[in-house]
Amino acid sequence: MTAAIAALTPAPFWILMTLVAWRAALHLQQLARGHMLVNPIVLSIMAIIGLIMVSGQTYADYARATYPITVWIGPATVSLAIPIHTHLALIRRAWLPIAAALVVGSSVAIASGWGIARMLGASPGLLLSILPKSVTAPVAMVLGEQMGGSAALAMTAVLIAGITGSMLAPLLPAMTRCTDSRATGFAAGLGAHNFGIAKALAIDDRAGAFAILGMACNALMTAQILLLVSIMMAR
Amino acid sequence: MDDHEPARPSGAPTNLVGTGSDVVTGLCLLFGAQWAGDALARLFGLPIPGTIVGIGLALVLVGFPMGRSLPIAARPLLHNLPLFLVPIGASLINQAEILRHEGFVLLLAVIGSTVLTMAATHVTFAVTMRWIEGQRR
Repeated sequence: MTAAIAALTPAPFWILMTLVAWRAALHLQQLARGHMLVNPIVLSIMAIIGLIMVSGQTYADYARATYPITVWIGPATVSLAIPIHTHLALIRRAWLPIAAALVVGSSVAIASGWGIARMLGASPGLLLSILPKSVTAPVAMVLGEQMGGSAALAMTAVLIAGITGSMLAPLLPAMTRCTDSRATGFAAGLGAHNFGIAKALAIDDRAGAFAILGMACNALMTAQILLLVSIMMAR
Repeated sequence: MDDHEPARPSGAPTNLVGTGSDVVTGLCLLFGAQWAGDALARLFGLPIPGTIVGIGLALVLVGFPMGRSLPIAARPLLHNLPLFLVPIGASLINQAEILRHEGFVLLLAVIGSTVLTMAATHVTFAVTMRWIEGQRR
Protein backbone atom coordinates (compact mmCIF):
# COMPACT_ATOMS: atom_id res chain seq x y z
CA MET A 1 0.00 0.00 0.00
CA THR A 2 2.52 2.56 1.22
CA ALA A 3 4.84 1.53 -1.59
CA ALA A 4 2.20 2.13 -4.25
CA ILE A 5 1.26 5.55 -2.87
CA ALA A 6 4.89 6.59 -2.47
CA ALA A 7 5.74 5.60 -6.03
CA LEU A 8 2.66 7.31 -7.47
CA THR A 9 3.33 10.86 -6.24
CA PRO A 10 6.69 10.78 -4.47
CA ALA A 11 7.17 14.51 -3.83
CA PRO A 12 3.99 15.34 -1.92
CA PHE A 13 4.04 11.96 -0.20
CA TRP A 14 7.59 12.17 1.17
CA ILE A 15 7.35 15.86 2.01
CA LEU A 16 4.13 15.16 3.92
CA MET A 17 5.73 12.20 5.72
CA THR A 18 8.77 14.29 6.70
CA LEU A 19 6.60 17.11 8.03
CA VAL A 20 4.37 14.65 9.91
CA ALA A 21 7.40 12.86 11.38
CA TRP A 22 8.87 16.19 12.57
CA ARG A 23 5.54 17.42 13.98
CA ALA A 24 4.88 14.12 15.75
CA ALA A 25 8.43 14.11 17.18
CA LEU A 26 7.93 17.67 18.51
CA HIS A 27 4.68 16.53 20.11
CA LEU A 28 6.38 13.53 21.73
CA GLN A 29 9.10 15.81 23.08
CA GLN A 30 6.43 18.01 24.64
CA LEU A 31 4.73 14.98 26.16
CA ALA A 32 8.07 13.85 27.61
CA ARG A 33 8.61 17.40 28.94
CA GLY A 34 11.81 17.81 26.97
CA HIS A 35 13.53 14.70 28.33
CA MET A 36 16.97 14.48 26.72
CA LEU A 37 16.39 10.98 25.37
CA VAL A 38 13.33 12.15 23.42
CA ASN A 39 15.22 14.00 20.71
CA PRO A 40 12.94 15.22 17.90
CA ILE A 41 15.73 15.19 15.30
CA VAL A 42 16.75 11.61 16.05
CA LEU A 43 13.14 10.45 16.29
CA SER A 44 12.11 11.91 12.93
CA ILE A 45 15.23 10.56 11.17
CA MET A 46 14.51 7.09 12.60
CA ALA A 47 10.86 7.29 11.54
CA ILE A 48 11.81 8.33 8.00
CA ILE A 49 14.44 5.57 7.68
CA GLY A 50 11.80 3.06 8.78
CA LEU A 51 9.34 4.41 6.25
CA ILE A 52 11.87 4.30 3.40
CA MET A 53 12.62 0.66 4.22
CA VAL A 54 8.93 -0.28 4.34
CA SER A 55 8.13 1.65 1.14
CA GLY A 56 10.56 -0.32 -1.01
CA GLN A 57 11.92 2.95 -2.45
CA THR A 58 15.57 3.96 -2.22
CA TYR A 59 17.10 6.82 -0.26
CA ALA A 60 17.81 8.51 -3.60
CA ASP A 61 14.06 8.50 -4.39
CA TYR A 62 13.34 10.00 -0.98
CA ALA A 63 16.10 12.61 -1.25
CA ARG A 64 14.90 13.71 -4.70
CA ALA A 65 11.30 14.00 -3.49
CA THR A 66 12.23 16.02 -0.39
CA TYR A 67 14.70 18.35 -2.10
CA PRO A 68 12.26 21.25 -1.56
CA ILE A 69 12.81 20.78 2.22
CA THR A 70 16.59 20.52 1.94
CA VAL A 71 16.76 23.79 -0.01
CA TRP A 72 15.74 25.66 3.16
CA ILE A 73 18.97 24.75 4.98
CA GLY A 74 20.63 27.69 3.20
CA PRO A 75 18.26 30.53 4.16
CA ALA A 76 17.70 28.95 7.60
CA THR A 77 21.47 29.01 8.22
CA VAL A 78 21.67 32.62 7.03
CA SER A 79 18.78 33.40 9.45
CA LEU A 80 21.23 32.66 12.25
CA ALA A 81 22.47 36.23 11.70
CA ILE A 82 19.34 37.52 13.48
CA PRO A 83 20.03 36.21 17.03
CA ILE A 84 23.69 37.20 16.59
CA HIS A 85 22.56 40.72 15.69
CA THR A 86 20.23 40.87 18.71
CA HIS A 87 23.06 39.95 21.09
CA LEU A 88 25.88 41.80 19.36
CA ALA A 89 26.69 43.95 22.42
CA LEU A 90 26.81 40.88 24.64
CA ILE A 91 29.08 39.09 22.18
CA ARG A 92 31.44 42.06 21.90
CA ARG A 93 31.86 42.08 25.67
CA ALA A 94 32.77 38.38 25.63
CA TRP A 95 35.28 38.47 22.75
CA LEU A 96 38.16 37.11 24.83
CA PRO A 97 36.35 34.01 26.19
CA ILE A 98 35.01 33.44 22.66
CA ALA A 99 38.50 33.56 21.12
CA ALA A 100 40.04 31.37 23.83
CA ALA A 101 37.25 28.77 23.73
CA LEU A 102 37.38 28.74 19.93
CA VAL A 103 41.09 27.98 19.72
CA VAL A 104 40.88 25.29 22.42
CA GLY A 105 37.60 23.80 21.17
CA SER A 106 38.56 23.55 17.48
CA SER A 107 41.94 22.04 18.28
CA VAL A 108 40.49 19.50 20.73
CA ALA A 109 37.75 18.57 18.22
CA ILE A 110 40.23 17.74 15.46
CA ALA A 111 43.03 16.27 17.58
CA SER A 112 40.83 14.08 19.77
CA GLY A 113 38.81 12.77 16.82
CA TRP A 114 42.02 11.83 15.03
CA GLY A 115 43.62 10.40 18.17
CA ILE A 116 40.73 8.21 19.29
CA ALA A 117 40.00 6.90 15.78
CA ARG A 118 43.67 6.09 15.27
CA MET A 119 43.90 4.33 18.64
CA LEU A 120 40.94 2.16 17.65
CA GLY A 121 42.59 1.26 14.33
CA ALA A 122 40.36 3.18 11.94
CA SER A 123 41.02 2.92 8.19
CA PRO A 124 42.59 6.03 6.59
CA GLY A 125 39.35 6.85 4.75
CA LEU A 126 37.38 6.89 7.98
CA LEU A 127 40.11 8.77 9.85
CA LEU A 128 40.10 11.67 7.38
CA SER A 129 36.30 11.75 7.11
CA ILE A 130 35.70 12.26 10.82
CA LEU A 131 38.12 15.21 11.22
CA PRO A 132 35.48 17.88 10.40
CA LYS A 133 32.70 16.14 12.40
CA SER A 134 31.98 19.12 14.67
CA VAL A 135 31.40 21.49 11.76
CA THR A 136 28.00 22.27 10.22
CA ALA A 137 26.95 19.66 7.61
CA PRO A 138 27.32 21.60 4.34
CA VAL A 139 30.84 22.75 5.29
CA ALA A 140 31.92 19.39 6.76
CA MET A 141 31.01 17.52 3.57
CA VAL A 142 33.27 19.77 1.51
CA LEU A 143 36.11 19.56 4.06
CA GLY A 144 35.86 15.75 4.39
CA GLU A 145 36.24 15.35 0.65
CA GLN A 146 39.08 17.88 0.45
CA MET A 147 41.00 15.95 3.10
CA GLY A 148 40.71 12.75 1.04
CA GLY A 149 37.85 11.15 2.97
CA SER A 150 34.26 10.74 1.75
CA ALA A 151 31.44 13.26 1.92
CA ALA A 152 28.88 10.62 2.96
CA LEU A 153 31.07 9.38 5.82
CA ALA A 154 31.79 12.94 6.91
CA MET A 155 28.04 13.52 6.93
CA THR A 156 27.52 10.42 9.09
CA ALA A 157 30.14 11.61 11.57
CA VAL A 158 28.54 15.07 11.62
CA LEU A 159 25.20 13.49 12.44
CA ILE A 160 26.57 11.37 15.27
CA ALA A 161 28.38 14.41 16.70
CA GLY A 162 25.16 16.41 16.44
CA ILE A 163 23.07 13.78 18.19
CA THR A 164 25.71 13.32 20.91
CA GLY A 165 25.96 17.07 21.39
CA SER A 166 22.23 17.65 21.60
CA MET A 167 22.01 15.04 24.35
CA LEU A 168 25.11 16.34 26.11
CA ALA A 169 24.31 20.07 26.02
CA PRO A 170 21.76 20.08 28.88
CA LEU A 171 24.21 18.05 31.03
CA LEU A 172 27.21 20.35 30.47
CA PRO A 173 26.61 22.77 33.37
CA ALA A 174 26.49 19.89 35.86
CA MET A 175 29.50 18.17 34.25
CA THR A 176 31.80 21.17 34.32
CA ARG A 177 30.23 22.92 37.32
CA CYS A 178 29.67 26.26 35.63
CA THR A 179 26.18 27.50 34.92
CA ASP A 180 26.95 30.38 32.52
CA SER A 181 24.48 29.83 29.67
CA ARG A 182 26.80 31.71 27.31
CA ALA A 183 29.48 29.02 27.87
CA THR A 184 26.96 26.20 27.40
CA GLY A 185 25.63 27.78 24.22
CA PHE A 186 29.08 28.38 22.73
CA ALA A 187 30.18 24.81 23.53
CA ALA A 188 26.97 23.35 22.07
CA GLY A 189 27.33 25.26 18.81
CA LEU A 190 31.06 24.63 18.47
CA GLY A 191 30.84 20.90 19.19
CA ALA A 192 27.47 20.00 17.71
CA HIS A 193 26.67 22.65 15.04
CA ASN A 194 22.95 22.98 14.12
CA PHE A 195 21.87 20.27 16.57
CA GLY A 196 23.63 22.06 19.41
CA ILE A 197 22.07 25.38 18.37
CA ALA A 198 18.58 23.86 18.46
CA LYS A 199 19.26 22.67 22.03
CA ALA A 200 20.84 25.96 23.08
CA LEU A 201 17.87 27.95 21.76
CA ALA A 202 15.73 25.79 24.06
CA ILE A 203 17.86 26.87 27.08
CA ASP A 204 17.52 30.60 26.40
CA ASP A 205 17.93 33.18 23.66
CA ARG A 206 21.38 34.19 24.90
CA ALA A 207 22.65 30.60 24.81
CA GLY A 208 21.23 30.35 21.29
CA ALA A 209 23.13 33.40 20.06
CA PHE A 210 26.41 32.10 21.50
CA ALA A 211 25.73 28.64 20.00
CA ILE A 212 25.32 30.17 16.55
CA LEU A 213 28.52 32.10 17.02
CA GLY A 214 30.25 28.87 18.12
CA MET A 215 29.11 27.07 15.00
CA ALA A 216 30.06 29.91 12.64
CA CYS A 217 33.48 30.42 14.27
CA ASN A 218 34.25 26.72 14.31
CA ALA A 219 33.37 26.32 10.61
CA LEU A 220 35.98 29.00 9.88
CA MET A 221 38.56 27.72 12.35
CA THR A 222 38.32 24.04 11.37
CA ALA A 223 38.58 24.96 7.69
CA GLN A 224 41.79 26.89 8.43
CA ILE A 225 43.32 24.19 10.67
CA LEU A 226 42.56 21.39 8.19
CA LEU A 227 43.97 23.48 5.35
CA LEU A 228 47.18 23.87 7.36
CA VAL A 229 47.28 20.16 8.22
CA SER A 230 46.87 19.14 4.58
CA ILE A 231 49.61 21.53 3.49
CA MET A 232 51.91 20.04 6.14
CA MET A 233 50.98 16.49 5.12
CA ALA A 234 51.71 17.24 1.48
CA ARG A 235 55.30 18.14 2.33
CA MET B 1 12.21 34.01 19.95
CA ASP B 2 9.41 32.50 22.01
CA ASP B 3 6.47 34.19 20.35
CA HIS B 4 5.39 33.44 16.84
CA GLU B 5 4.11 36.96 16.25
CA PRO B 6 6.21 38.80 13.70
CA ALA B 7 8.21 41.55 15.35
CA ARG B 8 7.12 44.96 14.04
CA PRO B 9 9.40 47.93 14.26
CA SER B 10 8.11 49.88 17.24
CA GLY B 11 5.30 52.24 16.33
CA ALA B 12 4.67 50.68 12.91
CA PRO B 13 1.05 49.75 12.21
CA THR B 14 0.32 46.03 12.16
CA ASN B 15 -1.61 45.01 9.06
CA LEU B 16 -1.79 41.60 7.43
CA VAL B 17 -0.98 42.80 3.93
CA GLY B 18 2.17 44.51 5.17
CA THR B 19 3.20 41.41 7.10
CA GLY B 20 2.68 39.16 4.08
CA SER B 21 4.87 41.25 1.82
CA ASP B 22 7.40 41.67 4.64
CA VAL B 23 7.78 37.89 4.69
CA VAL B 24 8.50 37.88 0.97
CA THR B 25 10.98 40.77 1.28
CA GLY B 26 12.66 38.91 4.15
CA LEU B 27 12.89 35.70 2.13
CA CYS B 28 14.40 37.62 -0.80
CA LEU B 29 17.06 38.99 1.53
CA LEU B 30 17.75 35.55 3.07
CA PHE B 31 18.09 33.75 -0.27
CA GLY B 32 19.93 36.78 -1.65
CA ALA B 33 22.47 36.73 1.18
CA GLN B 34 22.98 32.97 0.78
CA TRP B 35 23.42 33.24 -2.96
CA ALA B 36 25.72 36.27 -2.81
CA GLY B 37 27.76 34.65 -0.04
CA ASP B 38 28.25 31.50 -2.08
CA ALA B 39 29.07 33.49 -5.21
CA LEU B 40 31.59 35.72 -3.41
CA ALA B 41 33.30 32.76 -1.72
CA ARG B 42 33.66 30.96 -5.06
CA LEU B 43 34.54 33.97 -7.16
CA PHE B 44 37.38 35.04 -4.90
CA GLY B 45 38.31 31.53 -3.78
CA LEU B 46 37.83 32.55 -0.16
CA PRO B 47 38.96 30.00 2.45
CA ILE B 48 35.61 30.71 4.18
CA PRO B 49 32.46 28.64 3.51
CA GLY B 50 29.89 30.55 1.44
CA THR B 51 27.14 30.13 4.03
CA ILE B 52 29.29 31.87 6.64
CA VAL B 53 29.83 34.79 4.22
CA GLY B 54 26.02 34.79 3.82
CA ILE B 55 25.55 35.13 7.59
CA GLY B 56 27.96 38.08 7.51
CA LEU B 57 26.02 39.73 4.68
CA ALA B 58 22.70 39.25 6.51
CA LEU B 59 24.28 40.79 9.61
CA VAL B 60 25.01 43.92 7.54
CA LEU B 61 21.56 43.91 5.88
CA VAL B 62 19.65 43.89 9.22
CA GLY B 63 20.98 47.38 9.83
CA PHE B 64 19.20 48.85 6.78
CA PRO B 65 15.49 49.87 6.79
CA MET B 66 14.61 47.06 4.37
CA GLY B 67 16.39 44.64 6.69
CA ARG B 68 13.59 45.00 9.24
CA SER B 69 11.76 42.32 7.27
CA LEU B 70 14.60 39.84 7.89
CA PRO B 71 13.58 38.76 11.43
CA ILE B 72 9.98 38.23 10.24
CA ALA B 73 11.06 35.70 7.62
CA ALA B 74 13.83 34.24 9.77
CA ARG B 75 11.81 33.39 12.87
CA PRO B 76 9.82 30.40 11.54
CA LEU B 77 12.96 29.07 9.82
CA LEU B 78 15.00 29.29 13.04
CA HIS B 79 12.23 27.59 15.00
CA ASN B 80 12.24 24.59 12.66
CA LEU B 81 15.91 24.47 11.69
CA PRO B 82 16.35 20.74 12.47
CA LEU B 83 13.41 19.84 10.20
CA PHE B 84 15.43 20.90 7.17
CA LEU B 85 18.21 18.49 8.19
CA VAL B 86 15.94 15.42 8.36
CA PRO B 87 16.25 14.45 4.66
CA ILE B 88 20.08 14.58 4.83
CA GLY B 89 20.02 12.80 8.17
CA ALA B 90 18.10 9.91 6.64
CA SER B 91 21.14 9.27 4.39
CA LEU B 92 22.43 7.18 7.32
CA ILE B 93 20.43 4.41 5.65
CA ASN B 94 23.07 4.29 2.86
CA GLN B 95 25.99 3.94 5.27
CA ALA B 96 24.92 0.50 6.51
CA GLU B 97 27.93 -1.23 4.85
CA ILE B 98 30.63 0.96 6.45
CA LEU B 99 28.71 1.12 9.69
CA ARG B 100 28.73 -2.69 9.86
CA HIS B 101 32.53 -2.84 9.49
CA GLU B 102 33.74 0.27 11.24
CA GLY B 103 30.58 1.55 12.83
CA PHE B 104 31.82 0.92 16.33
CA VAL B 105 35.07 2.79 15.74
CA LEU B 106 33.22 5.68 14.12
CA LEU B 107 30.67 5.86 16.93
CA LEU B 108 33.24 5.67 19.72
CA ALA B 109 35.64 8.18 18.15
CA VAL B 110 32.97 10.73 17.32
CA ILE B 111 31.11 10.45 20.64
CA GLY B 112 34.34 10.53 22.67
CA SER B 113 35.73 13.45 20.73
CA THR B 114 32.46 15.41 20.92
CA VAL B 115 32.28 15.01 24.70
CA LEU B 116 35.91 16.16 25.06
CA THR B 117 35.38 19.07 22.65
CA MET B 118 32.29 20.42 24.36
CA ALA B 119 33.66 20.00 27.87
CA ALA B 120 36.95 21.72 26.92
CA THR B 121 35.12 24.57 25.16
CA HIS B 122 32.71 25.05 28.05
CA VAL B 123 35.44 25.14 30.69
CA THR B 124 37.74 27.43 28.66
CA PHE B 125 34.91 29.87 28.03
CA ALA B 126 33.71 29.89 31.63
CA VAL B 127 37.19 30.24 33.15
CA THR B 128 38.20 33.08 30.78
CA MET B 129 34.87 34.81 31.41
CA ARG B 130 35.31 34.60 35.16
CA TRP B 131 38.84 35.96 34.80
CA ILE B 132 37.89 39.06 32.76
CA GLU B 133 34.88 39.74 34.96
CA GLY B 134 37.24 39.65 37.95
CA GLN B 135 39.55 42.11 36.12
CA ARG B 136 36.71 44.55 35.48
CA ARG B 137 35.71 44.70 39.12
